[in-house]
Amino acid sequence: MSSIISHIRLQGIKKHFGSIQALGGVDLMLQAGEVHALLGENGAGKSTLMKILYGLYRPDAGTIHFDNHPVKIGSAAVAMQLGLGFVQQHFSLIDNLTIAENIILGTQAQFFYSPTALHRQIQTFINSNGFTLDAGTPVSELSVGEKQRVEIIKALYRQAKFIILDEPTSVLAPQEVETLFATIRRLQAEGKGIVFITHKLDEVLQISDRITILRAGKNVVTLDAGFATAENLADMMIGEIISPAQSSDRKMTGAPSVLLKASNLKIHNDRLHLAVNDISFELAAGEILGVAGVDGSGQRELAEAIMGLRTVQAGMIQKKKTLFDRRRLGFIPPDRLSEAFVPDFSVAENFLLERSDDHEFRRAGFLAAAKINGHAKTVIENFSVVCKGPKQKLRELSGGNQQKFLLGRALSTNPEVLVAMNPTWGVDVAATAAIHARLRNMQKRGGAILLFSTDLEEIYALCDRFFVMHTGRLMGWAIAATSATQVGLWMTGRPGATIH
Amino acid sequence: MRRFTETTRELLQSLLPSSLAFISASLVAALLVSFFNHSPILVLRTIWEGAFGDVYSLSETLLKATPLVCTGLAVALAFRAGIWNIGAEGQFIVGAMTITVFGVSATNLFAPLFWLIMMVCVFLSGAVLGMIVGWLREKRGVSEVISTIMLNAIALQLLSYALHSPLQEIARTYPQSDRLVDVARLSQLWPGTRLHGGVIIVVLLAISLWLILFRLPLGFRLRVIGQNPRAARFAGINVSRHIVIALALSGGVAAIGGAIEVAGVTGRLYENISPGYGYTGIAVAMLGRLHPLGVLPAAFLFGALESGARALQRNMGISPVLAEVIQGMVILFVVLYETRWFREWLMKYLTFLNNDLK
Repeated sequence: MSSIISHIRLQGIKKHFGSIQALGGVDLMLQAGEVHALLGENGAGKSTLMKILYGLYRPDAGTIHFDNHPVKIGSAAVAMQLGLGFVQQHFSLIDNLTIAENIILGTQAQFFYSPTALHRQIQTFINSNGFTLDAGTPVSELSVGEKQRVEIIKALYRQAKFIILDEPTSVLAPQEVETLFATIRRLQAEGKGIVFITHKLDEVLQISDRITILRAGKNVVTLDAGFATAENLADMMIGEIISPAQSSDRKMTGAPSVLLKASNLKIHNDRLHLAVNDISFELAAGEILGVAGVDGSGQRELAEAIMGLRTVQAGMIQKKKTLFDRRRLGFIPPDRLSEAFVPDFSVAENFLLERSDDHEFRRAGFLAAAKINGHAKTVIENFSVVCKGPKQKLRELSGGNQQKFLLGRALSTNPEVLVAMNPTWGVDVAATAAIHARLRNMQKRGGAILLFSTDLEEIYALCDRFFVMHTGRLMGWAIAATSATQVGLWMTGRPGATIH
Repeated sequence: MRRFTETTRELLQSLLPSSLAFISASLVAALLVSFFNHSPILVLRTIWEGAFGDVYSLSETLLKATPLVCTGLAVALAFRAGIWNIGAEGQFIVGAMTITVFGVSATNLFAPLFWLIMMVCVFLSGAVLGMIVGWLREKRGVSEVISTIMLNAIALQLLSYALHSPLQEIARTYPQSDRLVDVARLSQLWPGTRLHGGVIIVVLLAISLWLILFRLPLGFRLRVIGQNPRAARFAGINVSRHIVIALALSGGVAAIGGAIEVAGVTGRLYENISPGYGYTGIAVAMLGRLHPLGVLPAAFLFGALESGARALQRNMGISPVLAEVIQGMVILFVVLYETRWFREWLMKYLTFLNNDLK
């Protein structure tokens, strides 16, 4: 049936992860020969929805129809058979194999094959589809853009009629983006359906025929690209944000003292590309300074540099002298299980993690277990972390409780400055409120917080002022009164009038 | 006290799969010999008698276990910090060479002081070897598996060279050293057996390493690195420095094993001073669940296998290679019993039995 599909319809798709609702009843209609952009902030549910379509997740509720036939997609193999292809952000290619070998991987049942015959056959396939790649090249020698093309050819070789591209441009250089768009247009002309997941407005306006906007697991709207403008898309993507009242009645007593100052920072990411490009700011005592932006705009590199975990290429970070002591400079890394904790250790041992050097927890050189347990218990109680006690394995706690414990650990030393990255990521409403209250509390006591968040609502709720990052650049400064539309444009890479 | 019993209980619990693995391997081995027309029961009994039958067999078992404790501890310690130290073999050999250098050059030093200096140098010799591995890994990105295997080959050739010229006996007949002077030797522990004071040293060593790993801040940091190096870095721990420290400790402990073997058993250095103790140490560490105190019973079991296999050869003419076959199978069974698949199956089976009884 794969040769005749003209449309795919998803209806009422719901999906929960634990207590978090990722998708709350989403509808989507995909047409052959059409480029359909799926637009939304981080965590809006774009990737989850596509993973459900591709059989990687099971939906809790909802139906999928291919040309009015209901289908159950239990695995990626079924999805492929139905004519779907999925190019994920992390490519699934094997570096040591050639392009041709990667393309046939999993499609041929032959035990032996002739490399020359295979390469000739695949080369013909590649050329006939309008690509210029040498089938015999090992994948390890390819650029990121070329690898992406191999992934697309792989999907075509499996006779995909619909191809899903998950944030395809996020890994590409500008000129590679042009090549990708040319490829997309060619595929479209051949009658393929393309799903283009992104959060970049310009790209959406440039390439898509139809746009669906997701926000917080719900579809806001589907509209023809002809009706879209950068402004109305940004508005719908970010939604109404109610500026909280308390932002006005915060008292500034006297001249605030600057604790941390960054000037003209340039920082590389792990691939040695410039991830932070010319960023300057000052963080003063008693303020919560926000850093907004979609994920991967350079926030991680900036935070790591401030924490002294990453070298700075140019520019300078000046810190108050006391902040060189980790106890005075708290840190909440973005990924709690892989960066903040040892999940298989107990809660108490995880409490000790940043402070194993601290003489407070030693007795005659040995670790003072009773004291460590006592401190861990205090954090558990003060931050109402639900667990059996300091000896329970951290892995066994729920995400929200892990996050509360993480915050409690960071605040247990009463730091002057806290660098927090997405402190309420994957946390339910109650825990989010508790964490926000703690952060405000720290501010009231005169502490300073540098809050990185991809959740604009959180930024508006907590920050006195914030700046927006896009591809490593500071797009603009905002205060509570700055319109979300303006901020949304900055987040998606459109400079606008600076209101500050 | 309560904490101590807790530790013991946890250790026993974690050793359960190892014990099961050992029993399974013995049964399969017995089945194997039955294909060659030997009575499996008789074979197992001979191994048992040869390992624990009388005071002498027991002492031989302990004797064989002693070097394995050291190499097992070395591997377990490194592994806890997330490093595969395949180099215990080379570190063991270097330790044996170092003590020989001291032991053959007679000295009038006050014995306890001489001993102290000697053992510190032995430890340092292994530690330096370990630090080379750590430096190569952290500064040059060389996999420790590769560098330790290469260093093993170097240590072995160095030993061969030493025994053919600088350390060779005065008589220049065999590739072996002269006997160590008495002050460098370990005293006999039990009259009528070959058991020596090294047994006590390695038990103390195991306890010390347990304290380091589970009671000292240093060991805590090593375990954090072993479990989640990224979190360690984010918590402000200097990962590279600790990796080098872990390898130094690991190498030092393995070297002490070599020194004890020369000082306690052979009395002089031979080319085959180690019949692969470093490699068997990997198996011992795994069987002991990478716990310093678990290494003790694991090494004891492997020692029992060695001395049991000798009895097998003496009394039944079965090749002692059988012991190695069992050792290999023990590891396979440990790995099997570790799998989630097996645990789930076991749980299902146990609940099934439980419901059935109700």
